[in-house]
Amino acid sequence: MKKITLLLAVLFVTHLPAQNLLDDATSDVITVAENSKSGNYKDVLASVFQLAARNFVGEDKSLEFNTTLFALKLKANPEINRDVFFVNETFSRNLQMNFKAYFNDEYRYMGFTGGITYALYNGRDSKIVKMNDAFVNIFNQIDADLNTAQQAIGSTIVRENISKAERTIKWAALSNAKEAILNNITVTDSLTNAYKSTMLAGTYNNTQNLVNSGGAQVTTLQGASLYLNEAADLFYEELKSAPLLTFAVDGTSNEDGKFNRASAALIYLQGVKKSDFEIDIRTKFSYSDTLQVSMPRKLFEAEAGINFILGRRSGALSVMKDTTRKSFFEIKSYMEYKTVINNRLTDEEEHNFSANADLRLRIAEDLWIPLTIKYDIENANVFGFLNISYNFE
Amino acid sequence: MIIIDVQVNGGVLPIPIKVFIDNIDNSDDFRFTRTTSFNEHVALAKGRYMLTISGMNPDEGHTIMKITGDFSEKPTPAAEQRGDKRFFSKLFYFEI
Repeated sequence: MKKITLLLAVLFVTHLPAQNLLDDATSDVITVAENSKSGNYKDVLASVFQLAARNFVGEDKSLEFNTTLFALKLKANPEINRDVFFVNETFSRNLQMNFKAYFNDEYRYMGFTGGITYALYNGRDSKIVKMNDAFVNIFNQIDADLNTAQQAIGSTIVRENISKAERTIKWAALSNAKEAILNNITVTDSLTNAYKSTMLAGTYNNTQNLVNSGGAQVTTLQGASLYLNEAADLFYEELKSAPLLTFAVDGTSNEDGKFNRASAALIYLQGVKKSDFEIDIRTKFSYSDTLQVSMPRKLFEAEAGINFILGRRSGALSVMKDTTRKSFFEIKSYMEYKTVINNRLTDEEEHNFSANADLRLRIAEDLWIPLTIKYDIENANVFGFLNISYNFE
Repeated sequence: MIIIDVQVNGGVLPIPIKVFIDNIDNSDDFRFTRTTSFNEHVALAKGRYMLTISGMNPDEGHTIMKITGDFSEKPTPAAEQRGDKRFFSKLFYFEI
């Protein structure tokens, strides 16, 4: 328990200076974006900064830091967050850098790993999507009707014999009322609410002729707004099921700084639309020369399984349409195959199959605790590895 | 002459931005759309105007809208406004 407390303390202390790595506005944006992703996806490709402690109650501990090239460039030049520059940052946003330091049971430094992960195909990139013409058309019709409503109320505001300060409050309320209707959200300010009600009570040309995807007539402005928001929710929800293919290479040194391990890996994730399942396939080729007498070994590993998101924070909307919901409990069950290609040790098996389960529990906003349970099929042994993973800005 | 400056952050626009300039005293209204951030000069006659900029932010992005120029009454409720909801729409009232 002492060790757990110590490592948790390290994670939080390390987090403090990291909060200033991005400006506040960007930080907020990324925090919200991260909330809707699965922990499994974040482990494959961190979009911002991720700090993770692996196997921290076992003998061989590690502390891991992942970041994208874009996140580092953004720190140096916030301008690249603007759309006209953002579109040219595909490479930097898909390139993740990984650093990992190893410690023994007494927390003595035992070496480090440096590597890169590149998303060869990232169909989940929600920041560069374009909506189709039908969606644009719905928005345009609602916007046109809301402009008509704003015109009517605005023409009365300019005629009112009130102070400039009072008029300013009314313009702000009128502006907020339209935005609230567009986003289908409730407001607490009474004046904004009054304008919103007046706008929604009107009869308009465009939205009266709107037909939703189910073929039903949308008769009210509120109905049209609900339809627009549900269409957007569904679009982003389905985007999370898109394929993601990454390639990663890394090299590992011992405590003396000598590189004695290297690996190359391919990971493929593919969600299943309208479900909380994700297909997860991984292959890895590794080279190591870590024994006392030089005996280079080559290994091949393959995993195939499914990640299930079992827990979601409850949201205001229905489960499939709430993009703000957060995954807080996940199980990944998978089969693992390992083979030693050359220089197998005397008591080592050439082929090894195991059935595994990764349990990933979110205990705080960006704090995950993954527990891996391994079952060696041939020898009927069960192993457990407790990790901790913290995604931060 | 006014300058409309709109800067989109955190991704690209999923749908075009719509600008609607309503001349309150007559029907000389003005509309245009843009697919990226922009900074444009617009020549307007003397009068009272309601200018509305609407659109959809990139996923978890935000848009900064700023109106500058020679005004007899400066843009209100503010000359610079930030839209950080999924759909943004900001109104600027001013007189030239």
